[in-house]
Amino acid sequence: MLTEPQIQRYARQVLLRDVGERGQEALGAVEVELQLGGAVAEAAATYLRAGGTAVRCTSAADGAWAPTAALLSESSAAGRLSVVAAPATPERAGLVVGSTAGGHVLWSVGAEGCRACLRRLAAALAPPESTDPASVQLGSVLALLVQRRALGLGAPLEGVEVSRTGVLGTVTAAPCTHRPPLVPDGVLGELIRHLAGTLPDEGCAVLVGREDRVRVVPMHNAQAAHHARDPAAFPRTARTAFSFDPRAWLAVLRDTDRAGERVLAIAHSHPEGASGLSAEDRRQAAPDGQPLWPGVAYLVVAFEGGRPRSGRWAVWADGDFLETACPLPEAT
Amino acid sequence: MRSTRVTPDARIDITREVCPMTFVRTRIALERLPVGAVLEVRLKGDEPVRNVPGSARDLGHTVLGLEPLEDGTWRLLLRREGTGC
Repeated sequence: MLTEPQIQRYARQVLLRDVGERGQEALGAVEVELQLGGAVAEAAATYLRAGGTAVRCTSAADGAWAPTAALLSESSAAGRLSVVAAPATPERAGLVVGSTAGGHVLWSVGAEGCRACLRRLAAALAPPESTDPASVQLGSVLALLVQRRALGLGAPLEGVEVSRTGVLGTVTAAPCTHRPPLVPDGVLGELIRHLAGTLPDEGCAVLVGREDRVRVVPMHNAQAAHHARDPAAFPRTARTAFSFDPRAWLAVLRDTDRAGERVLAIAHSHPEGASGLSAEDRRQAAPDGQPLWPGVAYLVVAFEGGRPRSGRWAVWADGDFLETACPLPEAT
Repeated sequence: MRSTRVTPDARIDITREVCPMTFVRTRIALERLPVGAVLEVRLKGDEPVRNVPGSARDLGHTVLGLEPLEDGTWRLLLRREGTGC
């Protein structure tokens, strides 16, 4: 609840449709770390502080545009927005400011925005010049984008372009290809039951489907047979490894293609192992640093004492697997 | 527009306020109420009578009534809506 002095001070901001008392409280609850220097940071800090937002400048003392490693404490991470100069990207929610041939671009990212997309966008930008004549305008746009983020108004990833002549425009990121597929709990439950049924061996399966419909194709772990036939080439048993039977795998590819579906993910279990891809999993999935199946995600379900403990997605993005948690349904 | 029978859940008096504080007070009072609650706003003068009901409606709230009182002030009844900001 705003105090009387706060109501008096932020009256005109409280009037704005998207602000109100709750919005003003949100602006006051967030802490902005400007890992920038120069006039842009000065202008942004002035606007933000006037709007009731705490700002901390952590740029180099000489005002250069160098990002610094200084970060606020984890305890304030929830209400923290970081602003950094390209090609760096903020740790969590925040903004990237960079230059292009035509002017400047500011990318604003929420906690749910794709980090891989942001890294790619930021890599295409140069750090802006601290002496740029557009600095004050850039700082005001930056402050506005930070406020939008604090108010929960921004899209997960949104951009604004400021041309050399000061013209503002929105820029759109390419559709994200780094998201794991959306799998309904019922389908995840079916997958987990299959994986539990193969314990103590590793279990494996394929998730196939279209946008609106995902299904599980349980697969037989052929590792035991491979190991029995050629232990030198396949030193691991099914307890610590999985592999598809090539014919079964080809059949899945053929059937999904015929049905107008595609392979969304390859899933397997770690019977008593850590969640996430192991070093061996990574080698198998991306031999020579290139993904074997581009566009196919990986899901690892870790078991402990015969019960599913955690799930983790891995999606290939810019030369490495990007891992995110896969919440498991309650009933499993 | 009359609706004297509605019993308000909260009341504010903005007869001593001037723009923009007239609507700032009204908006904050509305936001502090649960959805569906009724706020009575006592106001005075042309500007708030003209602007406050419209501004509340623009934010999605419902104007239940606006009536002049004998002392020259006005009584505005607003219902807080869930869509209201």
